[in-house]
Amino acid sequence: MDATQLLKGVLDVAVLAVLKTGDGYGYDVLRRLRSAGLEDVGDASVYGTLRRLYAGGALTTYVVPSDEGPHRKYYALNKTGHDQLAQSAKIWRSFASTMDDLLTEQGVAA
Amino acid sequence: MSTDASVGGNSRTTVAARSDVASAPGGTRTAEIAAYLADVRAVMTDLDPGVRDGLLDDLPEHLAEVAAADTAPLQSRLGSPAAFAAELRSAAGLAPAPPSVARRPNEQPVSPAQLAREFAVGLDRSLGRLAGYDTLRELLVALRPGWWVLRGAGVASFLAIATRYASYYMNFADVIVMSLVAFIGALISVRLGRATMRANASTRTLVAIINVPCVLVLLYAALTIQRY
Repeated sequence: MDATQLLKGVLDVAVLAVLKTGDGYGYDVLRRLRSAGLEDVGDASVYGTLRRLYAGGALTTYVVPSDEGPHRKYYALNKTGHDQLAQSAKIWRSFASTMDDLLTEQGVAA
Repeated sequence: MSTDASVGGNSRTTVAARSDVASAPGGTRTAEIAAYLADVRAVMTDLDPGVRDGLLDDLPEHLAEVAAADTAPLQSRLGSPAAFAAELRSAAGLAPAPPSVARRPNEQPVSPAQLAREFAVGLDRSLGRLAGYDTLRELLVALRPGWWVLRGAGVASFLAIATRYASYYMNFADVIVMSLVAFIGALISVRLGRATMRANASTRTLVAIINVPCVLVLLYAALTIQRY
């Protein structure tokens, strides 16, 4: 099974979760996802997910000027984003535990 | 729908100014970033301009960050602009680009006829340059009067020899006659050549067909000349 296929479905949750711990600009969010273990996550996927969550009203943005680099657009969770994260996390945990139970019952080694 | 706004409790300054890619540390890579962006944008022409601009809004900064963090070319980290755009569309929940958009003009498959044409043009140039001309065609055009003379003199001489002088030793008078025949043949051929250049397409085709036996006769004469 290809982890990148699985990732597509849960990237929203991952991005929202990363932003819960602190606002971040696109490249920063990508770096945090990768250091959290999602090493295969692509630039375009993270960037596209941020834009979709923003368009969907889950995120707010603000621009921070920088002396040494490009200005950075930070993304932050708003109320909708927090709610969406809570709900998605619940669905994910339930799904993950169901899958885990299923595999255990069938005697598949962890 | 959320708007750009400062988040409460955050000490970072909010500014309205758009970021400037040129101010990136890798300022010399501005052209590379711009080219990459343009290519990504080119495969999104089917989208509503508002949607597209929204999607690509802070991509310049993102690419600048990537370029600043990594000296390798953008393509080596991000993949081709077309692949990047496809992944971006998918992640943003948009439909894939229709084939007509996804396939950029310079990526269209080349037809065999087009390949042959390009090969012919290349050959025309390279052979022409060998001879000091821009194209082989130019050289051949310059050689045209020479061909007329050769055709007329050669064919007339051959006919004269074949019909009357074959296998006979030529005396001085014969040489004079032969020279005259060749000269007259050349004059006629040049006249025909000049007339052909002004003639219509069907006449030119006819002359081209007549040229075939002429060439064969000249080749035959050249190969058997020792016999005479």
